Amino acid sequence: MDNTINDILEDRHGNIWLASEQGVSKFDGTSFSHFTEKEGLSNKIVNCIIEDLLGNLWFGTYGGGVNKYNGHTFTHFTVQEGLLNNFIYSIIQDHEGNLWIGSNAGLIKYNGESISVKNLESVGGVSETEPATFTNYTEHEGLSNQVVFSILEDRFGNLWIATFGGFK
Amino acid sequence: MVKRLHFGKKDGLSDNSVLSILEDKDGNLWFGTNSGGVTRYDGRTFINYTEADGLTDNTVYTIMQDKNRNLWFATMGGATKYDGKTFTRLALGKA
Repeated sequence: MDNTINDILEDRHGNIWLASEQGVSKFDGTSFSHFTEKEGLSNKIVNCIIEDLLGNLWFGTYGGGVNKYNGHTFTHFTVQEGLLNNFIYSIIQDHEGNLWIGSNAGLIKYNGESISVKNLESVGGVSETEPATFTNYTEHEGLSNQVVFSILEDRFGNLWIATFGGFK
Repeated sequence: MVKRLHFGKKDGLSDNSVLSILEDKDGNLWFGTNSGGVTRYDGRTFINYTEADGLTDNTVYTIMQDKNRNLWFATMGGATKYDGKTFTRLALGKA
């Protein structure tokens, strides 16, 4: 069995989440819980984990796109839902709440979470009607290479995109 | 003028292929390598930790520090927790 761990995250409750080639494992300090396709993951090969501003976990899988976990259920974002590619290496959330997803075929911006953050912050229950969309950035838009391994937002709001062909 | 320094095996790094970097809460740098385990750099000296010290594997993909200051190493052989004194292996075992 492949025991490779691809990423580790500590969530806001102090649980340790391990992303592996066998799914996701949660360690509460005493015992492990495992999440595989049986528990709702779209794919068992998980490359990266982040916790968003609202406390949801996002898993980037290699073959099954992105999975959002709200503590109870998994929501899948795959090519079928409009994702550029199902092979994910990296995910970050920027200061506005947008998700940036690094895939085998380019960089994807998802504004669904920034809408949720804005709605949460809006006083008086005024909700945004802006639709949640995916925006794709590939070599055509200026990316040095379409394989996006790692993404970082610096303190000035610049995004740094690490690709197979250098960085931009 | 930008001064560039280059550190490699000859300086004490365990391997020239580096997969991950973390600055811990005390300011030490940790380098996870492709085949040499992890290297800690305190600004002066490099200290290497490998499977012989308790790492689950010498290929280290990611390093994380938790709220309690434990370091977590994601390796090819599972996860390893380091509390500053001892390495604890956390192989996932049966999936």
